[in-house]
Amino acid sequence: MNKDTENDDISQVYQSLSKDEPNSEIDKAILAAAKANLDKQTIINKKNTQAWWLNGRFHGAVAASLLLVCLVYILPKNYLGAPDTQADLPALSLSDAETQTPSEQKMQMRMLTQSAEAESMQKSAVSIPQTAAMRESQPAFNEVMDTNKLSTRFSNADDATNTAIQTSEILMAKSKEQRKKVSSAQKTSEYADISVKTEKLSAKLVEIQEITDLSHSELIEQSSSLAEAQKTEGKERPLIKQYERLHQELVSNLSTISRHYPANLEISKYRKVLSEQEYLAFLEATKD
Amino acid sequence: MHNLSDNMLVKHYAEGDIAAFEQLYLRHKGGVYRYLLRQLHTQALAEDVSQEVWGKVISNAQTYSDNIVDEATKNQTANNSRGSAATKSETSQASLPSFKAWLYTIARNKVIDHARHVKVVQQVIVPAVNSNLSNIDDDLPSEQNQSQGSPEAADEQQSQATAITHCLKQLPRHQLDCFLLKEEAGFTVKMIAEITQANLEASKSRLKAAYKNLRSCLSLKLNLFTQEPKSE
Repeated sequence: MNKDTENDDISQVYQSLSKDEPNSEIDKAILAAAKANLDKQTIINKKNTQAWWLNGRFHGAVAASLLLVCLVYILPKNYLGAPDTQADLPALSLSDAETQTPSEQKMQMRMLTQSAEAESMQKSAVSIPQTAAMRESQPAFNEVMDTNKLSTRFSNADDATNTAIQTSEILMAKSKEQRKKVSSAQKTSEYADISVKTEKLSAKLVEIQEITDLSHSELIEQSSSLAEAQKTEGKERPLIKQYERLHQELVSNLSTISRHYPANLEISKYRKVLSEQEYLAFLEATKD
Repeated sequence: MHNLSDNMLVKHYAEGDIAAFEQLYLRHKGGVYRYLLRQLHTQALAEDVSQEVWGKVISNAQTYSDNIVDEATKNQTANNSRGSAATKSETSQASLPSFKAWLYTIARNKVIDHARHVKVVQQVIVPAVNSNLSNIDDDLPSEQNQSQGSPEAADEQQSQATAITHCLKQLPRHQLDCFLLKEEAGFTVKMIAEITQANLEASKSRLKAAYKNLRSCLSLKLNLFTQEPKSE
């Protein structure tokens, strides 16, 4: 007997059992579950599609932004040739520079400065993506950039030094001017003092001449000879000595005035209290 | 749709065709249910577990379908490299995973899960099971209705059904498992070995022992099979 058929009798008995089937309610429940699972899958797929679409839109927006940046900033600068704002603006402003009032010129200078600042800001904004791209493409770019930075720093330092020198020069000139002003003022005041003193001395000498009734040359002669002075009256001796001392002081002041303020010296006013030689000498000095 | 293989039906269902699943369910619902019923001995319990089994099929249909496609692609590649047209179809058919085996593996695992659960809460479950078993024995009139022959034949059929039901209950679990997989699903011993995760020889001996025990039991019950079948 074959192995496959030897148990047929048992199989027949088993198959004689009822062909039990699950309840129809169970069938309905299982089929409903299968349909619900399909619906769920459909919803998940829809969500995935929506997520993909949203994701795609996001990437599209990013790409569009980059394209816009390229069109607005990079392409015009590098390939299409951007208008040179600095070249255009001075032509506008400098054409009528001669006919403009100082306030208009100031206004135009301010506009020029603002436009230059705006352009420098634009350049720096453009240079950021370019620099990032170059960093990725060129490994040695960092080194070059560092060198450029250093040179920029050095040039900046030079500029700062030059500015400082210019400022110090200006300050020095200002202080020099001030010193000049101060010295001239001092000199003016000194001249005024000397002039006043000299005039007083002159007046005093004239007064002594009138009191003694002697001329300048006579008084000088008497003072030079002590013996002769002793012969005169006791009252006159101190006056003669005083005249000599005042005369010496007058000559000293006149020499100062003639050296520093020759133009201001009117030597003719002092003719009475000067000797012939002295008068001529001061006259000669004031002529230069 | 009726001519499609089980694997194709699963694939169609995974792609959104509910009719494919209906067809698949109609093909296998009885076998699975009976396999569960003979193991669990309770109609309600069998229905519950049957629902669980099909629920698992539904939730894993997509994964199973993907695996089928992967396996088919692998086989195709292997066959192309081998270049033999004769072996191409044979290999692809043989190595493709079988939906039926997958279905009964799920069912068997559910039964094992249930057995473990019963073992833990035996005191609660056993009385209910016993009462349901008596109900099953009482539900046999449907079998009686099926027999349209003579009253003697109907009596004989009923007594056979009662006897086989009784004898199945007496079988050890592994033997019953192998017997039901053979009789309900029609699996070969090799397939039974794969599903039960046992080696081929063990499956053979279990199946052989199952038939032997049933024969002994039925001979006692029905006075049939007085002679043991001759083995080769």
